[in-house]
Amino acid sequence: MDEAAFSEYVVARRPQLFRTACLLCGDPHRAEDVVQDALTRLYAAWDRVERMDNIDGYVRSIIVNAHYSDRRRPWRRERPSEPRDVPLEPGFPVEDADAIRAALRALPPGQRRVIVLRHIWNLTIEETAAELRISAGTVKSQSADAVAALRRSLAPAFGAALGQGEQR
Amino acid sequence: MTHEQDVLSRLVDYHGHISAPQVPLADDLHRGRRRVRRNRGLVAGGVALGLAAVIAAVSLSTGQGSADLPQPAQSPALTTPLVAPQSPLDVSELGFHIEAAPDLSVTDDWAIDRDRQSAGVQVLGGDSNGMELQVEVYYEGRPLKLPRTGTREPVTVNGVPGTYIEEIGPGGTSHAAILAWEYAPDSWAAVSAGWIESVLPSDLRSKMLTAAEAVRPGGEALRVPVRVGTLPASLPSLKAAQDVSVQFWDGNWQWWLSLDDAIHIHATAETGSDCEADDGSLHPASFTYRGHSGCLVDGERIGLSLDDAQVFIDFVDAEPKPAIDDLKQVLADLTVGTADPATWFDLRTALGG
Repeated sequence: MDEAAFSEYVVARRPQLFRTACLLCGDPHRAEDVVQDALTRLYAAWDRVERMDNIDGYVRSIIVNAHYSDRRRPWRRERPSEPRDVPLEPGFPVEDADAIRAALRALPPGQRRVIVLRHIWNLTIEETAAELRISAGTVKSQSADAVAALRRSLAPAFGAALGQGEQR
Repeated sequence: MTHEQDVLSRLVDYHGHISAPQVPLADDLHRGRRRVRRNRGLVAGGVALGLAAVIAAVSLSTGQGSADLPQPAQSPALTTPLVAPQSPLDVSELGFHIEAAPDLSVTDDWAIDRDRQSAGVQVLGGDSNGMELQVEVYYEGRPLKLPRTGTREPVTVNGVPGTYIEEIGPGGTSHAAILAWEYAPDSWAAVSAGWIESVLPSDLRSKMLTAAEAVRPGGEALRVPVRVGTLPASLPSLKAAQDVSVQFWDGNWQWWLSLDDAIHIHATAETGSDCEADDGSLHPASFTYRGHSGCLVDGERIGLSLDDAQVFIDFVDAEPKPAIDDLKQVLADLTVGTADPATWFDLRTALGG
């Protein structure tokens, strides 16, 4: 076990993993749980994963699967009745963040996963399909549906910039 | 910019502005090590905890030859070497125990490995309150590896010289500690704790020393909650089993038996245990064997739901892969005791001896 390499990876990638988990979960505490779980699993499998030369892919799978797992095993943890606010760096309007978070939360989980993999992790359609074990056609349709839904949800907040609603 | 691009750019911008918490690297390392221990048993965790993973290791040298070590007169301490058994079947009790002390709580965790025996203890009170320490007693002639780097201090354990080492992990944010001494000629013991706090508690050294000085000869009879049936000829023999251990997590027992480096049998009374692949993906029950529902992660893990336990075999590192039907048979042939340890099995019985 090369702990130095593991540590370097964690230091470099942890913030990105947390942000991604926030998009998927919508709750920072749950996101932190998911990231902790992912890194814990990564540690245990480090030697093998490092040989596979796709550490990001491995961790990404865990985070996406943790999202599945959480839905399948609601008894695993007590969930808050309302998601907590996602902490933001200075410079991003809180009201815009609230609107985006609500829009994401309104997406079906499958569409949310497709959006995150395709447009946050920048995977290709084929890579996204393989990772989610769905067809490329489903990736395309879910991505299109998700973007359309996001546009509808965000129009009241962002207005004409998205082609709908009124300019703020 | 198209509407789609604008939606996505706002999403990416939002993602980039999410503030990630500052989590000490030591916390992730600690959780990882705990997972390894959970997966592979207490002994493997001891290896991870042994500080030697990221640095070259050397055998402990106290500057004195074994023959020169002072042995305290009439010491109650462990001073007779533990002799390695031919097989785990030959072990009926631990060769040592940790005497009760006001600031130590002996746990029910233990492990038997090829080169040592281990037991757990938890610190009560002080800055180190709640910290878990691992006491390892190596068999005579088996080397104890220690880190080459780190700050070293000489200590005395019941009159015997030893060394206390504090190690700083990568990035300077994690710390670990180990206290080692030669409890008998060419026989080593260690108390270790580490990588669980960004800074080691100020009283850790004294607590570890207390634990070290509380090691006494003779241990309680070992009982395990699971008895293994006859193994198929395709699997390694139980007589050559690599390690066996029992731990308790959240009040539930966990039992591990490693047939070799690649095949690990695990049973737990923990409810809600699932068949998880290494990447965390869940595998629902996909077969029934002798009336028990089972799950299979191809090439990695197989599980079976028995009446009182979830039982699994991890075989991800096995090459060639064992026959699935053989693994199903092993799991279905496991006999699980009740929650009452009085109903558990001695090691020889548990391993089919």
